Amino acid sequence: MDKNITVENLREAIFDVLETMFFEPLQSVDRDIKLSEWFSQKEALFAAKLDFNGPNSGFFYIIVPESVATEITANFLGIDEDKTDNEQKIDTIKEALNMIGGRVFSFFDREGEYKLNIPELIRVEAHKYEILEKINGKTVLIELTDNRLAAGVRIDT
Amino acid sequence: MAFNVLIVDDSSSMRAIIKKTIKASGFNVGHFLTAEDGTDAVKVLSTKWVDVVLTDINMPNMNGIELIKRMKEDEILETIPVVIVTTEGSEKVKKQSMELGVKALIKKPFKPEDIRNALNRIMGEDQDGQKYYGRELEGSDF
Repeated sequence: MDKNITVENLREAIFDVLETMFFEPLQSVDRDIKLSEWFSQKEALFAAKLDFNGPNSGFFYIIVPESVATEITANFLGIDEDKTDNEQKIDTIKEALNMIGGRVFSFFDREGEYKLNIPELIRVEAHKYEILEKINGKTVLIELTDNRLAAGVRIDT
Repeated sequence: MAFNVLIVDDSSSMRAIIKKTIKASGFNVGHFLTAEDGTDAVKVLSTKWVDVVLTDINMPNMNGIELIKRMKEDEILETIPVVIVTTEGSEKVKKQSMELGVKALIKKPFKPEDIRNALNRIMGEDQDGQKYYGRELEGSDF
């Protein structure tokens, strides 16, 4: 599957999902930079993980600062940012990743050999971003108007 | 005549956005009912009158395909039109959905008109008194 999941189709899936359902103008950044350095360290991050299995297994991930979680949740639900609660943010991030994962497979898995599991969320506290380096996957770095996020895939077998 | 809609998705945000899309489309909805998974949906279906079901596939406990199969075992529930709203879009899922008599398959991410068009076709025909059960699925929906 490695030859099928490319950074390019991952990027296309991220753009499709975030632009269609979350109304976020995005720009992909082509830079070689560590995940722990991509974010500001000043705020907590929401990191969601979505396992998949089939001919190969691994997981998709998305990492967003809490402020981005608030913004895309408000956009998605059509409510003011100050009306969003933590549960909505977690749910929205997980659903965004679910859609990204499904979209990636739609590019090549016509026979439905791959199965997506249920997304899980991990909260990464400010100044404790080192944990992100353990992910070790193919990451797409994304810039929003005033902020940034990252999403990617790791293939284990 | 107003119709009751059951939205089945383990994401509360997705349930909310589907509800909002249907509301904004101007359908005459009596009640919006929601369920977190297939098991929860079966409970709702056993106690409430539902005119159309929109369900995700990938959910814990009982997934959307299992839910539809369960509905097909019941002579009343099997007549309720089902729309699948899912991230899954493989040929396998499309074929399975067609075999189960699903009326439309909408892929996430969707545009509001995807849901509006599917419901327009399904409920519009129902409200005009036309038959749509057993009708062949249109290519645009699958």
